[in-house]
Amino acid sequence: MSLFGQLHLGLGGLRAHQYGLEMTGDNIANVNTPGFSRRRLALSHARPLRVTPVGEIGGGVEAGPITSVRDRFLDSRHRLESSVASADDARHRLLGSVEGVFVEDGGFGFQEELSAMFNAFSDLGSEPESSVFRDQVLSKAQSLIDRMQGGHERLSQIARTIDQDTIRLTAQANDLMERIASLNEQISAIEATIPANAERDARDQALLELSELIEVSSYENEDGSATVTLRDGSSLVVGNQSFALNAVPTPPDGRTSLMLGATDVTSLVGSGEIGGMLSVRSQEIPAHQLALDDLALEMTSRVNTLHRAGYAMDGTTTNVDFFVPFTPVAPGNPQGATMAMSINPTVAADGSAIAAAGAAGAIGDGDQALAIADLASSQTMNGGTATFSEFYSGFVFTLGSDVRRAEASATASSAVAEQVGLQKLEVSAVSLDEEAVALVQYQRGYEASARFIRVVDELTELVMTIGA
Amino acid sequence: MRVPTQLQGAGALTELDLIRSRSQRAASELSSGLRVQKPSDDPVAASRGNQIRDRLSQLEHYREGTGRAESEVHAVDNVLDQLERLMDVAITSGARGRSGLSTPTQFQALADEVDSIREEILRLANSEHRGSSLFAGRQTRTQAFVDSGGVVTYQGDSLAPTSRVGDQSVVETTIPGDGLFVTGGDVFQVLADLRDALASGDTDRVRIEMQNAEQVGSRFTDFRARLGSTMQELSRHSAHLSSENVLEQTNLSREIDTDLVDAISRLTAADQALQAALGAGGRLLTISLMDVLG
Repeated sequence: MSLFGQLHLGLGGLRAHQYGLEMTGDNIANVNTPGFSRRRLALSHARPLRVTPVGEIGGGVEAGPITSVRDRFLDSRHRLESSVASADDARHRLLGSVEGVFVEDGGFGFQEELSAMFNAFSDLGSEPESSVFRDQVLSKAQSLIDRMQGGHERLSQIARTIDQDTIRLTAQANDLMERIASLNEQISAIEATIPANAERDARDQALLELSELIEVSSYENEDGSATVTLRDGSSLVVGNQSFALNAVPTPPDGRTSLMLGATDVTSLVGSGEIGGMLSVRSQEIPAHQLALDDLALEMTSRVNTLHRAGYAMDGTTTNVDFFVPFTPVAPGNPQGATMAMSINPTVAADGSAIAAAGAAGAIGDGDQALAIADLASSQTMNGGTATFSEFYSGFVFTLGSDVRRAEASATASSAVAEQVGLQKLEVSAVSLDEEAVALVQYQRGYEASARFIRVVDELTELVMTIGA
Repeated sequence: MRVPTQLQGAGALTELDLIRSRSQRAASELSSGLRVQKPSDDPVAASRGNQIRDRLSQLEHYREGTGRAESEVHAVDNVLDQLERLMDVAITSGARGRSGLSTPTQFQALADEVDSIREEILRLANSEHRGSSLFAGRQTRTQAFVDSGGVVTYQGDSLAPTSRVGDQSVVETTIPGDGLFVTGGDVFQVLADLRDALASGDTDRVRIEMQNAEQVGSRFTDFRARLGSTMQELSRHSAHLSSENVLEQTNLSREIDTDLVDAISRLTAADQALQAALGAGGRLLTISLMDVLG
């Protein structure tokens, strides 16, 4: 090779090590960038080789391509585990809110109000002529109604919040899908010539964020674009096109459903934050409200049955309900009983209308009030196996157990997702120690190439002086 | 194993979060005094605590009911005490008249005394307690006895009002007036007859009416004895309710209150772990080859 050729050889070395320095600088700058996968510069022996009497001598170093270091399997697993962890976290968070409605001390105090109402009937049974005790029955009954309806309404408020959050997060998911589609187009265009590392990083990050919202599957096509689908294969992103999800309220309770075109895909969402929220919305909240309705219906029915058989303070008025009777939408369906609870206006307006007496004529007869009070210790719930208090205690146990299970799931799935995330970081993340070494290596390589150029330059000058 | 820079930070942060979580939990228990602050803290204990609270509410209600019952029983006992004394005075008056040593004027004076005792007994028979008639049975807003032209008529009924003092446990706190004042000898009629006998000076008749009065007096004593038994039973019951209240409070505390010693130990341990983790994290995170290479 001529001296001028060797200059180009030196220049190639300078260029290659300069690329290396720039790439290392890029790695260092992005040491804390979420989703950034460290870059590596591929250096190879440049061709053509020149065969000399003493052996092969190459054409220097060839730089490129710059590739990102990542493990596709770990990426995919991380998305899956993050989706599950997000769902479990959302469930735990929301069930914690539901649990907060029923905290007894200084909070819901349902047990206290339940006991107070039946105790008030007991007091009335002992002094049925007392207007104070009659007013107390009305007051405690109303207080119990307020507590039950307050709890029921707070559950409804949580449900409405979930519906609103679902709409917001669905919009977020749609934005991410649009972004993935756009990145698909860029990757396809760029990778005609060079690896689209930055675009792939951005797309993988968007896929991860999307997985944390809803359960999706994705696979890469030959042209580098990623196809994203729901669990049944319905397409969300194909090439440079995305198909938006719509969060719409559906009757009768305005519960939010997810639509893909005209198809209801709510049940396909599965995991992800939206999936976790929707499961609480469709399972736990209605179940707890129904339990309250069951209690309300049984209690009002039993009290009314006894109250109708009793006599008011005038000694003659009978066959009057204490609570306004509730008409179920279907036989045996207590839905709506809690919010429909109210004291019979006739009784509410005049405490003397409370039927405390068991027989006509005696103002001091409190037998019926005592019978109503005895309902507190009667096993009328759960097919005649539990008192009202025991039923509510069972409800509290179930609620607490649900939250505990959700907490355990969230902790476990979060740990798994974090572990996979750490494994991913182990492969892809930047190590400042490694980059420090790389910096030194590329610096020395650059210096050596520059020194080589200077030597060749000196030789060239020497040759030029030979004929002079 | 490759340890990138982000990995160092992530690992340290996770450990710190775990330790802080334990520390916060212990501090929350200490500040509230409660181990079970919400159902998920211990679902079984929360459920049991709920039932214990229900029981405590019932016990408190029964204690109040027992207190009211005791108050009413004492009121009735007070009346019975006065009735016994009055009947003794009436019988004494009769005894003085029966001796045959009295003058017509003295007989009349004795008759007047018996008449005033009859009036006093009528007043006592119409006693009220907290606005309700004590001796009208369940007709508690009705005056028990009415004197119309010298004839005393009972206006109540024969059923005693009841008070709930325990599980399925009720107590009769008063005595229907017909049973106390009428059945087995109408006290008003007996005293009227005694009065008339004394006024007429008929000692034989006085002797007969005295026997009737003694029977009425014995009846008052019998009722008082029964009432005394009720009072003792209520007193024992009140003591039992107090004991059960203490027991249930203890049970509730055992279920939901925190063990202060344990909570303090956990807080101390968490604090020490936190200090160690902060120290270790601080040392690890600041070391890098970048700092060494010039």
